[in-house]
Amino acid sequence: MIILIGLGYYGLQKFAHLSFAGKRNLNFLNTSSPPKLIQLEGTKSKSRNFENSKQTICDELRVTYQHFDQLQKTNNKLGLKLEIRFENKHIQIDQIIYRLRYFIKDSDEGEIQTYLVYREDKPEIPTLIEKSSHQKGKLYKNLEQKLDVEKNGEILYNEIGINQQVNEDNTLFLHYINNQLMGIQGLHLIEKISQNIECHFQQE
Amino acid sequence: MNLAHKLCAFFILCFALNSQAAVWVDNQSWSLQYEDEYSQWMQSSKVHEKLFSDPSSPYFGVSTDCADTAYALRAIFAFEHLLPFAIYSPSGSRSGTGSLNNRQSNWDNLPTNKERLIAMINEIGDSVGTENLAYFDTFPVAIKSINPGTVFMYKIKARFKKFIRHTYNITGINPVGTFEVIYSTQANKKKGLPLIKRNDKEFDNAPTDPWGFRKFRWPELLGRDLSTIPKELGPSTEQYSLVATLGPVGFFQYVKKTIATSNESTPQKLARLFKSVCTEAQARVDYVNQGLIHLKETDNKCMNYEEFDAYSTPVRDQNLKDLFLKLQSAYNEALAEGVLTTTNSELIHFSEIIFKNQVQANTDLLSACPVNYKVGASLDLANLWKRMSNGSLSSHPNDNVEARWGDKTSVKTKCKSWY
Repeated sequence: MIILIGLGYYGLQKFAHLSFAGKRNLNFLNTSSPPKLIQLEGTKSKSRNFENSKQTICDELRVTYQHFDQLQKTNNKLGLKLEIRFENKHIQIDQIIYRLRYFIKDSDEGEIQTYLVYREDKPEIPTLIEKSSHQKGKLYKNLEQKLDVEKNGEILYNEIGINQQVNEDNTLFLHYINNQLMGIQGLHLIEKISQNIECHFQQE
Repeated sequence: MNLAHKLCAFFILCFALNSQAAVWVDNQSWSLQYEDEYSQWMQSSKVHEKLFSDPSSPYFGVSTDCADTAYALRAIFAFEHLLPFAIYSPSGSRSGTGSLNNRQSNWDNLPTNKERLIAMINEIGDSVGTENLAYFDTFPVAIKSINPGTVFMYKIKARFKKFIRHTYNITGINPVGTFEVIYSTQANKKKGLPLIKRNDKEFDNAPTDPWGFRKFRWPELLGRDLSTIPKELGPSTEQYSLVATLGPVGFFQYVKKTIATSNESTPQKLARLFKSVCTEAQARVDYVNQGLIHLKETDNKCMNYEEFDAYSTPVRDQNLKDLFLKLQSAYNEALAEGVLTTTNSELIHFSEIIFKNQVQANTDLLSACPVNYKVGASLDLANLWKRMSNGSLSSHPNDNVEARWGDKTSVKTKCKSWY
């Protein structure tokens, strides 16, 4: 648990360090009282400051979490499991492009791991051909096995959404496409970041 | 060209067009006015429990659990108003521009646009859940911008490191600041049951970024920054700051105060909560019976994880318990404020029976809210509370009806409890 918290704080400290090294004033992001927040929205100069700071915050977080494989390595070193919320793989097998989707479906009392297989009959037009919950369907298993045998050489696209623990109670949602960070959500769970921040990035 | 040739060419053209049929052709664009209309539509009688389950409904055959219901309602409104509908592509997109949308021809094997709509909604139901809705297809809103059409989504920790997420669709805001909501569940989806409507809902699970009060993104705003959303729709993350500042209870008090048009007195609150406890206690009969029916259909086999998940009731039982506690708290407030004389005396009497155990059996309480849990057997709320508070009720779906309702003579199942 200490390691876990440590990793979270490493990210936070790095972020905080960069923030303060840049001599930005984060005070206006503080959440002292709700009415103040609403008032701040109407203030022109502060909203300009806010936009600038937001951009910097997102850029700095991007540096910390930019590549999925690096994050995975760091987590592995620390013995941490990634909490994968969904994953989409596009793979080409025998001239046909399949899409393997794994995600977690909601249920009344918990959650259900769900596995889907799509086939592209036309480029980028997927048709859902297999769905299974809790356990992988036959086709899903076969394709995954084939993919593994071919040592991932045929993966055309990989998209993944994970929850990354930042402290004991909170996680960030990180969205990657082809190893690149595309978005971060959950920033308000980090202390001192309190206004309209969602980070979206363009593919390089 | 003779007539036969012309007809032949016409049919070929028709076939060619039909073979590339969109779900529907949109010729309108989302606007603030359409958002107002969407909000009005959500409040209207067009959005009702049997929208997907009544064979005479045009949307019979749509199958939804919680997040799917939100997508379905939005898609139906878009369809009826020839508006575009798009969600972030569930399976990804190599071109980076992908979405699942009404212009797709995936369902062009179906002859009518209504059938294609239903097929599209059902595929959405198979492909996404509450997480997609929160992460990609909606944006958080300011408290003052909550209106019918807004969704409320929460995520809470459950046992065994699992989470529970849920989506409510707000269909109305009552003068005292409670919500009218419509929603569905996994068990409802499995059995094709009507949607669930509640007229006096209070939310308890506080927003945690990105969960909370949210609205749908317009198709052209998928993946875009919050600053691109029209200000009039109230894009804001203030709810998360408010929770941090006020705490969950304070947050919902703030929400209630902000959206209410009249104050709720303690007697009114007591009456509302009694009704809510009654509704949910009676709803438990349906939840339990759904499991019992399934058990009968499967020759009493031990349920697998998925079945267990759909038909067990630990969280719903906890919610009912919490509601009882709220009623008790409102009763204590009435005592403390000395407003017992201005409160419906019957309600005070009922509260005393339930929480002070003043009367052993009360036919008035039973007739005010009978919980008919099996043929020929009913519980009043006092007895139910007694059983609930001493832990006699079973949430295990392999238990028989007696065990589920805490009868003394019941024998508990030996089937695995998955969580």
